Amino acid sequence: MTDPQPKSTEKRASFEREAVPHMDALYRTALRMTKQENDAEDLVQETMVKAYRFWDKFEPGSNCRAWLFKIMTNIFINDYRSKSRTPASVDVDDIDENYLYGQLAAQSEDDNPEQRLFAKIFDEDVRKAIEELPDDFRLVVVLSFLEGFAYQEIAEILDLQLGTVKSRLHRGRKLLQKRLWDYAVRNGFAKEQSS
Amino acid sequence: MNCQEALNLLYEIIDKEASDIDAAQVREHLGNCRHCFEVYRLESAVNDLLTEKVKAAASPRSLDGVEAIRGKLLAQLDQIDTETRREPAPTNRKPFGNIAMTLGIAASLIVILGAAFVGRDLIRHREVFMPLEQAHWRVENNVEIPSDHSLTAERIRALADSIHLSLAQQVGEFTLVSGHVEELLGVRMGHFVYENEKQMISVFAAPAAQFNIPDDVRDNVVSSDGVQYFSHNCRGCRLLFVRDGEWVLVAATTDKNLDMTTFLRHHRVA
Ligand SMILES: [Zn+2]
Repeated sequence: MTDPQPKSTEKRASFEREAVPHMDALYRTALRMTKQENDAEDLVQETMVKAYRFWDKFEPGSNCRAWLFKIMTNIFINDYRSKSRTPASVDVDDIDENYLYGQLAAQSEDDNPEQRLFAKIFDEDVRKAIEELPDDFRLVVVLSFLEGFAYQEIAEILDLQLGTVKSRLHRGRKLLQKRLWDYAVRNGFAKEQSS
Repeated sequence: MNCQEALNLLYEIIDKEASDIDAAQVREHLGNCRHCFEVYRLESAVNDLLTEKVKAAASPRSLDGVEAIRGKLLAQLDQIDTETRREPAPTNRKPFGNIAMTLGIAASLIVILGAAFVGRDLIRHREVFMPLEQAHWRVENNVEIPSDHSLTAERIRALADSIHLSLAQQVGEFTLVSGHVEELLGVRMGHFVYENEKQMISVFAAPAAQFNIPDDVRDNVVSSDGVQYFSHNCRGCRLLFVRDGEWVLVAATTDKNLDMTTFLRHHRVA
Protein backbone atom coordinates (compact mmCIF):
# COMPACT_ATOMS: atom_id res chain seq x y z
CA MET A 1 0.00 0.00 0.00
CA THR A 2 1.52 3.32 -1.06
CA ASP A 3 -0.95 5.62 0.65
CA PRO A 4 0.02 5.79 4.35
CA GLN A 5 -3.44 7.08 5.34
CA PRO A 6 -6.11 5.20 3.44
CA LYS A 7 -9.29 7.19 3.85
CA SER A 8 -11.95 5.40 1.91
CA THR A 9 -13.66 3.88 4.90
CA GLU A 10 -17.30 3.04 4.55
CA LYS A 11 -18.27 5.76 7.01
CA ARG A 12 -16.29 8.31 5.11
CA ALA A 13 -17.70 7.23 1.77
CA SER A 14 -21.32 7.36 2.87
CA PHE A 15 -20.76 10.74 4.51
CA GLU A 16 -19.25 12.16 1.35
CA ARG A 17 -22.06 10.70 -0.70
CA GLU A 18 -25.01 11.79 1.46
CA ALA A 19 -23.97 14.75 3.58
CA VAL A 20 -21.33 16.69 1.66
CA PRO A 21 -23.62 17.55 -1.29
CA HIS A 22 -25.80 19.58 1.11
CA MET A 23 -22.97 22.01 1.86
CA ASP A 24 -24.12 24.48 -0.78
CA ALA A 25 -27.52 24.77 0.83
CA LEU A 26 -26.03 24.91 4.33
CA TYR A 27 -23.69 27.71 3.31
CA ARG A 28 -26.45 29.67 1.61
CA THR A 29 -28.52 29.55 4.78
CA ALA A 30 -25.51 30.09 7.06
CA LEU A 31 -24.85 33.37 5.23
CA ARG A 32 -28.38 34.50 5.98
CA MET A 33 -28.05 33.44 9.61
CA THR A 34 -24.65 34.89 10.47
CA LYS A 35 -24.63 37.75 7.93
CA GLN A 36 -20.84 37.34 7.63
CA GLU A 37 -18.97 35.23 5.12
CA ASN A 38 -16.28 34.24 7.62
CA ASP A 39 -18.79 33.24 10.26
CA ALA A 40 -20.86 31.37 7.68
CA GLU A 41 -17.81 29.39 6.58
CA ASP A 42 -16.92 28.54 10.17
CA LEU A 43 -20.50 27.60 10.94
CA VAL A 44 -20.74 25.21 7.98
CA GLN A 45 -17.34 23.74 8.77
CA GLU A 46 -18.31 23.12 12.40
CA THR A 47 -21.62 21.67 11.32
CA MET A 48 -20.05 19.21 8.92
CA VAL A 49 -17.35 18.11 11.37
CA LYS A 50 -19.94 17.56 14.07
CA ALA A 51 -22.16 15.71 11.62
CA TYR A 52 -19.24 13.46 10.72
CA ARG A 53 -18.47 12.70 14.35
CA PHE A 54 -22.11 11.84 14.94
CA TRP A 55 -22.61 10.15 11.57
CA ASP A 56 -23.41 6.81 13.21
CA LYS A 57 -26.38 8.53 14.87
CA PHE A 58 -27.88 9.38 11.51
CA GLU A 59 -30.50 6.89 10.41
CA PRO A 60 -29.83 5.89 6.82
CA GLY A 61 -32.76 6.71 4.60
CA SER A 62 -34.10 9.48 6.83
CA ASN A 63 -33.95 13.14 5.88
CA CYS A 64 -30.24 13.97 5.80
CA ARG A 65 -30.74 17.57 4.73
CA ALA A 66 -33.08 18.29 7.66
CA TRP A 67 -30.68 16.49 10.02
CA LEU A 68 -27.78 18.67 8.89
CA PHE A 69 -29.84 21.85 9.17
CA LYS A 70 -30.83 20.85 12.68
CA ILE A 71 -27.20 20.49 13.70
CA MET A 72 -26.38 23.80 12.08
CA THR A 73 -29.24 25.78 13.64
CA ASN A 74 -28.37 24.35 17.06
CA ILE A 75 -24.77 25.48 16.73
CA PHE A 76 -25.91 28.84 15.45
CA ILE A 77 -28.38 29.37 18.28
CA ASN A 78 -25.92 28.26 20.96
CA ASP A 79 -22.68 29.78 19.74
CA TYR A 80 -23.25 32.41 17.11
CA ARG A 81 -26.45 34.14 17.97
CA SER A 82 -24.98 36.22 20.79
CA LYS A 83 -22.16 37.34 18.50
CA SER A 84 -24.39 38.59 15.73
CA ARG A 85 -25.90 41.96 16.23
CA THR A 86 -29.65 41.82 16.41
CA PRO A 87 -31.55 45.02 15.83
CA ALA A 88 -33.35 46.51 18.80
CA SER A 89 -36.56 44.67 19.48
CA VAL A 90 -39.21 45.06 16.86
CA ASP A 91 -42.83 45.24 17.77
CA VAL A 92 -44.11 42.66 15.37
CA ASP A 93 -47.66 42.81 16.63
CA ASP A 94 -47.76 46.42 15.60
CA ILE A 95 -48.09 45.59 11.92
CA ASP A 96 -51.50 45.77 10.41
CA GLU A 97 -52.44 42.36 9.07
CA ASN A 98 -53.51 43.71 5.69
CA TYR A 99 -50.97 46.47 5.48
CA LEU A 100 -49.46 45.62 2.12
CA TYR A 101 -52.80 44.78 0.61
CA GLY A 102 -54.23 48.11 1.76
CA GLN A 103 -51.27 50.04 0.42
CA LEU A 104 -51.07 48.28 -2.92
CA ALA A 105 -54.81 48.28 -3.49
CA ALA A 106 -54.78 52.05 -3.04
CA GLN A 107 -51.89 52.64 -5.46
CA SER A 108 -53.47 52.81 -8.88
CA GLU A 109 -55.76 51.21 -11.35
CA ASP A 110 -53.00 48.76 -12.31
CA ASP A 111 -54.04 45.18 -12.52
CA ASN A 112 -50.81 44.06 -10.89
CA PRO A 113 -49.41 46.88 -8.74
CA GLU A 114 -47.10 44.41 -6.96
CA GLN A 115 -45.31 43.63 -10.21
CA ARG A 116 -44.44 47.26 -10.71
CA LEU A 117 -43.26 47.57 -7.14
CA PHE A 118 -41.11 44.47 -7.06
CA ALA A 119 -39.52 45.17 -10.41
CA LYS A 120 -37.76 48.09 -8.73
CA ILE A 121 -36.62 46.31 -5.61
CA PHE A 122 -33.17 44.81 -5.93
CA ASP A 123 -32.02 41.44 -4.64
CA GLU A 124 -29.69 43.39 -2.38
CA ASP A 125 -32.64 45.14 -0.72
CA VAL A 126 -34.28 41.80 -0.06
CA ARG A 127 -31.05 40.51 1.44
CA LYS A 128 -30.92 43.50 3.78
CA ALA A 129 -34.56 43.16 4.69
CA ILE A 130 -34.01 39.52 5.65
CA GLU A 131 -30.90 40.31 7.65
CA GLU A 132 -32.78 42.94 9.60
CA LEU A 133 -35.39 40.44 10.74
CA PRO A 134 -35.02 39.40 14.39
CA ASP A 135 -33.24 36.01 14.66
CA ASP A 136 -36.33 33.98 15.58
CA PHE A 137 -38.19 35.14 12.51
CA ARG A 138 -35.19 35.09 10.22
CA LEU A 139 -34.46 31.43 10.89
CA VAL A 140 -37.99 30.37 10.04
CA VAL A 141 -38.23 32.63 6.99
CA VAL A 142 -34.91 31.43 5.59
CA LEU A 143 -35.71 27.76 6.12
CA SER A 144 -39.07 28.22 4.43
CA PHE A 145 -38.36 30.66 1.61
CA LEU A 146 -34.79 29.80 0.80
CA GLU A 147 -34.70 26.08 1.54
CA GLY A 148 -38.34 25.19 0.97
CA PHE A 149 -38.66 23.13 4.15
CA ALA A 150 -42.20 22.14 5.13
CA TYR A 151 -43.68 23.49 8.39
CA GLN A 152 -43.21 20.13 10.09
CA GLU A 153 -39.57 19.89 9.03
CA ILE A 154 -38.91 23.40 10.33
CA ALA A 155 -40.58 22.48 13.61
CA GLU A 156 -38.24 19.51 13.95
CA ILE A 157 -35.13 21.40 12.90
CA LEU A 158 -35.75 24.21 15.37
CA ASP A 159 -37.45 22.13 18.06
CA LEU A 160 -40.54 24.30 17.94
CA GLN A 161 -44.24 23.55 18.06
CA LEU A 162 -45.94 23.53 14.69
CA GLY A 163 -48.10 26.48 15.75
CA THR A 164 -45.02 28.51 16.67
CA VAL A 165 -43.51 27.86 13.25
CA LYS A 166 -46.69 29.03 11.55
CA SER A 167 -47.00 32.20 13.58
CA ARG A 168 -43.31 33.10 13.22
CA LEU A 169 -43.45 32.53 9.51
CA HIS A 170 -46.61 34.57 9.24
CA ARG A 171 -45.19 37.48 11.20
CA GLY A 172 -41.82 37.17 9.49
CA ARG A 173 -43.57 37.57 6.15
CA LYS A 174 -45.47 40.60 7.36
CA LEU A 175 -42.28 42.18 8.64
CA LEU A 176 -40.54 41.49 5.36
CA GLN A 177 -43.40 42.97 3.36
CA LYS A 178 -43.43 46.03 5.57
CA ARG A 179 -39.67 46.55 5.26
CA LEU A 180 -39.76 46.27 1.49
CA TRP A 181 -42.73 48.57 1.26
CA ASP A 182 -41.04 51.19 3.44
CA TYR A 183 -38.02 50.87 1.22
CA ALA A 184 -40.13 51.45 -1.87
CA VAL A 185 -41.73 54.51 -0.32
CA ARG A 186 -38.37 55.92 0.76
CA ASN A 187 -37.05 55.53 -2.75
CA GLY A 188 -40.11 57.00 -4.36
CA PHE A 189 -41.38 53.83 -6.07
CA ALA A 190 -44.56 53.98 -4.06
CA LYS A 191 -46.57 56.52 -2.14
CA GLU A 192 -47.63 56.03 1.44
CA GLN A 193 -51.40 56.12 1.79
CA SER A 194 -52.65 57.72 4.92
CA SER A 195 -55.45 55.58 6.19
CA MET B 1 -66.60 29.26 5.17
CA ASN B 2 -66.61 32.99 5.91
CA CYS B 3 -64.01 35.62 4.98
CA GLN B 4 -62.15 35.43 8.30
CA GLU B 5 -61.82 31.64 8.04
CA ALA B 6 -60.67 31.89 4.44
CA LEU B 7 -58.05 34.53 5.28
CA ASN B 8 -56.78 32.58 8.28
CA LEU B 9 -55.78 29.80 5.91
CA LEU B 10 -54.03 32.18 3.51
CA TYR B 11 -50.42 31.16 4.10
CA GLU B 12 -51.14 27.51 4.60
CA ILE B 13 -52.75 27.49 1.17
CA ILE B 14 -49.90 29.47 -0.37
CA ASP B 15 -47.33 27.16 1.22
CA LYS B 16 -49.31 24.09 0.12
CA GLU B 17 -49.66 23.01 3.72
CA ALA B 18 -53.46 23.11 3.96
CA SER B 19 -55.53 19.93 3.98
CA ASP B 20 -57.45 18.99 0.84
CA ILE B 21 -60.73 19.74 2.59
CA ASP B 22 -59.62 23.22 3.67
CA ALA B 23 -58.20 23.91 0.22
CA ALA B 24 -61.49 22.93 -1.45
CA GLN B 25 -63.50 25.15 0.90
CA VAL B 26 -61.19 28.10 0.38
CA ARG B 27 -61.39 27.64 -3.39
CA GLU B 28 -65.16 27.68 -3.16
CA HIS B 29 -65.12 30.84 -1.04
CA LEU B 30 -62.74 32.61 -3.42
CA GLY B 31 -65.13 31.84 -6.26
CA ASN B 32 -67.81 33.82 -4.47
CA CYS B 33 -65.86 36.57 -2.74
CA ARG B 34 -64.11 39.26 -4.73
CA HIS B 35 -62.31 40.71 -1.70
CA CYS B 36 -60.73 37.47 -0.51
CA PHE B 37 -59.88 36.55 -4.08
CA GLU B 38 -57.93 39.80 -4.42
CA VAL B 39 -56.08 39.25 -1.14
CA TYR B 40 -55.12 35.74 -2.22
CA ARG B 41 -54.05 36.85 -5.66
CA LEU B 42 -51.90 39.64 -4.29
CA GLU B 43 -50.38 37.58 -1.49
CA SER B 44 -49.44 34.70 -3.72
CA ALA B 45 -47.93 37.05 -6.28
CA VAL B 46 -45.93 38.73 -3.50
CA ASN B 47 -44.95 35.31 -2.20
CA ASP B 48 -43.69 34.16 -5.59
CA LEU B 49 -41.71 37.32 -6.07
CA LEU B 50 -40.26 37.18 -2.58
CA THR B 51 -39.24 33.56 -2.98
CA GLU B 52 -37.57 34.37 -6.26
CA LYS B 53 -35.79 37.41 -4.79
CA VAL B 54 -34.69 35.58 -1.68
CA LYS B 55 -33.14 32.84 -3.79
CA ALA B 56 -31.50 35.29 -6.17
CA ALA B 57 -30.11 37.30 -3.26
CA ALA B 58 -28.54 34.17 -1.84
CA SER B 59 -26.87 32.73 -4.90
CA PRO B 60 -23.92 34.93 -5.91
CA ARG B 61 -20.55 34.15 -4.33
CA SER B 62 -21.98 31.19 -2.47
CA LEU B 63 -20.23 28.68 -4.63
CA ASP B 64 -16.75 30.18 -4.17
CA GLY B 65 -17.20 30.09 -0.44
CA VAL B 66 -18.35 26.49 -0.49
CA GLU B 67 -15.43 25.41 -2.67
CA ALA B 68 -13.02 26.94 -0.17
CA ILE B 69 -14.52 25.17 2.82
CA ARG B 70 -15.07 21.87 1.04
CA GLY B 71 -11.30 21.52 0.73
CA LYS B 72 -10.75 22.45 4.36
CA LEU B 73 -13.48 20.07 5.47
CA LEU B 74 -12.10 17.06 3.60
CA ALA B 75 -8.68 17.73 5.13
CA GLN B 76 -10.23 17.84 8.58
CA LEU B 77 -12.13 14.61 7.94
CA ASP B 78 -8.82 12.97 6.98
CA GLN B 79 -7.45 14.07 10.32
CA ILE B 80 -10.46 12.67 12.21
CA ASP B 81 -10.15 9.39 10.33
CA THR B 82 -6.49 9.18 11.26
CA GLU B 83 -7.13 10.05 14.93
CA THR B 84 -9.80 7.40 15.20
CA ARG B 85 -7.51 4.74 13.78
CA ARG B 86 -4.34 5.74 15.61
CA GLU B 87 -3.25 4.25 18.92
CA PRO B 88 -3.82 6.62 21.84
CA ALA B 89 -1.29 9.40 22.19
CA PRO B 90 1.23 9.36 25.07
CA THR B 91 -0.41 10.33 28.32
CA ASN B 92 2.00 13.01 29.54
CA ARG B 93 0.43 15.50 27.17
CA LYS B 94 -3.16 16.66 27.20
CA PRO B 95 -4.27 15.68 23.70
CA PHE B 96 -7.89 15.24 24.67
CA GLY B 97 -8.47 18.47 26.53
CA ASN B 98 -11.75 18.90 24.74
CA ILE B 99 -12.98 15.55 25.90
CA ALA B 100 -12.29 16.58 29.47
CA MET B 101 -14.49 19.57 29.01
CA THR B 102 -17.11 17.56 27.19
CA LEU B 103 -17.13 14.95 29.93
CA GLY B 104 -17.47 17.49 32.68
CA ILE B 105 -20.25 19.29 30.91
CA ALA B 106 -21.93 16.05 29.95
CA ALA B 107 -21.83 14.72 33.49
CA SER B 108 -23.21 17.92 34.92
CA LEU B 109 -25.78 18.14 32.20
CA ILE B 110 -27.28 14.81 32.97
CA VAL B 111 -27.41 15.65 36.65
CA ILE B 112 -29.12 18.92 35.90
CA LEU B 113 -31.57 17.10 33.67
CA GLY B 114 -32.14 14.51 36.35
CA ALA B 115 -32.58 17.11 39.08
CA ALA B 116 -35.09 18.92 36.93
CA PHE B 117 -37.15 15.79 36.60
CA VAL B 118 -36.78 14.30 40.05
CA GLY B 119 -39.10 16.87 41.58
CA ARG B 120 -41.85 16.26 39.08
CA ASP B 121 -41.73 12.61 38.39
CA LEU B 122 -39.09 10.24 39.60
CA ILE B 123 -39.50 7.99 36.59
CA ARG B 124 -38.98 10.64 33.98
CA HIS B 125 -35.27 11.16 34.41
CA ARG B 126 -34.50 7.61 33.38
CA GLU B 127 -35.64 8.49 29.91
CA VAL B 128 -33.63 11.53 29.02
CA PHE B 129 -30.87 10.04 26.94
CA MET B 130 -30.23 11.69 23.62
CA PRO B 131 -27.27 13.27 21.91
CA LEU B 132 -25.81 15.70 24.41
CA GLU B 133 -25.95 18.85 22.42
CA GLN B 134 -29.58 18.21 21.65
CA ALA B 135 -30.39 17.55 25.30
CA HIS B 136 -28.54 20.68 26.30
CA TRP B 137 -30.40 22.75 23.78
CA ARG B 138 -33.74 21.35 24.88
CA VAL B 139 -33.08 22.09 28.53
CA GLU B 140 -31.94 25.64 27.82
CA ASN B 141 -35.00 26.25 25.73
CA ASN B 142 -37.51 24.54 28.00
CA VAL B 143 -38.40 22.04 25.35
CA GLU B 144 -40.01 18.84 26.55
CA ILE B 145 -37.64 15.88 26.65
CA PRO B 146 -39.19 12.97 24.76
CA SER B 147 -39.36 9.68 26.58
CA ASP B 148 -37.67 6.46 25.67
CA HIS B 149 -39.43 3.59 27.36
CA SER B 150 -37.19 0.99 25.85
CA LEU B 151 -34.50 1.35 28.52
CA THR B 152 -34.48 -1.67 30.74
CA ALA B 153 -32.06 -3.13 33.22
CA GLU B 154 -30.93 -5.76 30.70
CA ARG B 155 -30.27 -3.16 28.08
CA ILE B 156 -28.19 -1.13 30.50
CA ARG B 157 -26.13 -4.22 31.29
CA ALA B 158 -25.72 -4.95 27.61
CA LEU B 159 -24.51 -1.41 27.04
CA ALA B 160 -21.96 -1.68 29.82
CA ASP B 161 -20.84 -5.05 28.47
CA SER B 162 -20.46 -3.62 24.99
CA ILE B 163 -17.64 -1.41 26.22
CA HIS B 164 -16.32 -4.10 28.63
CA LEU B 165 -17.17 -2.13 31.72
CA SER B 166 -18.47 -4.10 34.65
CA LEU B 167 -20.74 -2.13 36.92
CA ALA B 168 -22.44 -2.90 40.19
CA GLN B 169 -26.21 -2.98 39.86
CA GLN B 170 -26.50 -1.79 43.43
CA VAL B 171 -24.10 0.52 45.33
CA GLY B 172 -25.30 1.02 48.90
CA GLU B 173 -28.73 2.58 48.54
CA PHE B 174 -28.12 3.48 44.92
CA THR B 175 -29.52 1.46 42.02
CA LEU B 176 -28.32 1.54 38.44
CA VAL B 177 -31.32 2.88 36.54
CA SER B 178 -30.08 4.07 33.19
CA GLY B 179 -27.25 3.75 30.74
CA HIS B 180 -26.03 5.05 27.47
CA VAL B 181 -22.93 4.64 25.35
CA GLU B 182 -21.89 7.28 22.91
CA GLU B 183 -18.94 8.35 20.87
CA LEU B 184 -17.74 11.80 21.79
CA LEU B 185 -14.88 13.31 19.83
CA GLY B 186 -13.90 9.90 18.57
CA VAL B 187 -13.87 8.13 21.95
CA ARG B 188 -16.49 5.61 22.94
CA MET B 189 -17.58 6.25 26.48
CA GLY B 190 -20.26 5.07 28.83
CA HIS B 191 -22.66 7.10 30.83
CA PHE B 192 -24.72 5.59 33.64
CA VAL B 193 -27.16 6.90 36.18
CA TYR B 194 -27.68 5.65 39.72
CA GLU B 195 -30.41 6.81 42.02
CA ASN B 196 -31.88 6.25 45.43
CA GLU B 197 -35.20 7.66 46.54
CA LYS B 198 -34.04 11.25 46.71
CA GLN B 199 -30.68 11.61 45.02
CA MET B 200 -29.01 10.73 41.79
CA ILE B 201 -25.45 10.28 40.67
CA SER B 202 -24.33 10.34 37.08
CA VAL B 203 -21.20 8.39 36.15
CA PHE B 204 -19.17 8.81 33.01
CA ALA B 205 -16.57 6.25 32.05
CA ALA B 206 -13.88 6.98 29.48
CA PRO B 207 -10.92 4.76 28.49
CA ALA B 208 -7.89 5.90 30.50
CA ALA B 209 -5.69 5.23 27.48
CA GLN B 210 -7.46 8.05 25.68
CA PHE B 211 -8.41 10.34 28.48
CA ASN B 212 -6.39 12.04 31.21
CA ILE B 213 -7.80 13.73 34.24
CA PRO B 214 -6.95 17.26 33.17
CA ASP B 215 -5.12 19.69 35.46
CA ASP B 216 -7.88 22.23 35.41
CA VAL B 217 -10.39 19.97 37.14
CA ARG B 218 -8.05 19.13 40.02
CA ASP B 219 -9.47 21.69 42.44
CA ASN B 220 -9.07 19.43 45.46
CA VAL B 221 -7.43 16.07 46.04
CA VAL B 222 -8.82 13.46 48.38
CA SER B 223 -6.80 10.31 49.04
CA SER B 224 -8.60 7.19 50.10
CA ASP B 225 -7.01 3.73 50.29
CA GLY B 226 -4.06 5.10 48.36
CA VAL B 227 -6.23 6.24 45.45
CA GLN B 228 -6.43 9.90 44.50
CA TYR B 229 -9.80 11.50 43.80
CA PHE B 230 -9.97 14.92 42.21
CA SER B 231 -12.98 17.15 42.76
CA HIS B 232 -14.24 20.00 40.64
CA ASN B 233 -17.34 22.17 40.50
CA CYS B 234 -19.07 22.85 37.21
CA ARG B 235 -22.42 24.52 36.55
CA GLY B 236 -23.76 23.86 40.00
CA CYS B 237 -22.61 20.24 39.98
CA ARG B 238 -19.94 18.53 42.00
CA LEU B 239 -17.71 16.32 39.89
CA LEU B 240 -15.29 13.70 41.19
CA PHE B 241 -12.63 12.22 38.91
CA VAL B 242 -10.70 9.04 39.55
CA ARG B 243 -8.45 6.75 37.57
CA ASP B 244 -9.69 3.21 38.07
CA GLY B 245 -7.69 0.59 36.17
CA GLU B 246 -8.16 1.16 32.47
CA TRP B 247 -10.99 3.62 33.08
CA VAL B 248 -11.27 7.21 34.10
CA LEU B 249 -14.52 7.65 35.97
CA VAL B 250 -16.34 10.90 36.57
CA ALA B 251 -19.16 11.01 39.09
CA ALA B 252 -21.46 14.02 39.18
CA THR B 253 -24.24 15.13 41.47
CA THR B 254 -26.02 18.31 42.48
CA ASP B 255 -26.34 17.10 46.06
CA LYS B 256 -23.99 18.98 48.38
CA ASN B 257 -23.72 16.28 51.03
CA LEU B 258 -23.39 13.10 49.04
CA ASP B 259 -20.22 11.11 49.69
CA MET B 260 -19.12 10.36 46.17
CA THR B 261 -15.72 9.03 47.18
CA THR B 262 -17.38 6.10 48.92
CA PHE B 263 -19.72 5.68 46.00
CA LEU B 264 -16.94 5.55 43.42
CA ARG B 265 -14.96 3.11 45.54
CA HIS B 266 -17.77 0.58 45.38
CA HIS B 267 -19.46 1.10 42.11
CA ARG B 268 -17.29 -1.17 39.99
CA VAL B 269 -17.35 -4.91 40.03
CA ALA B 270 -13.75 -6.08 40.08
ZN1 LIG C 1 -64.26 36.53 1.60
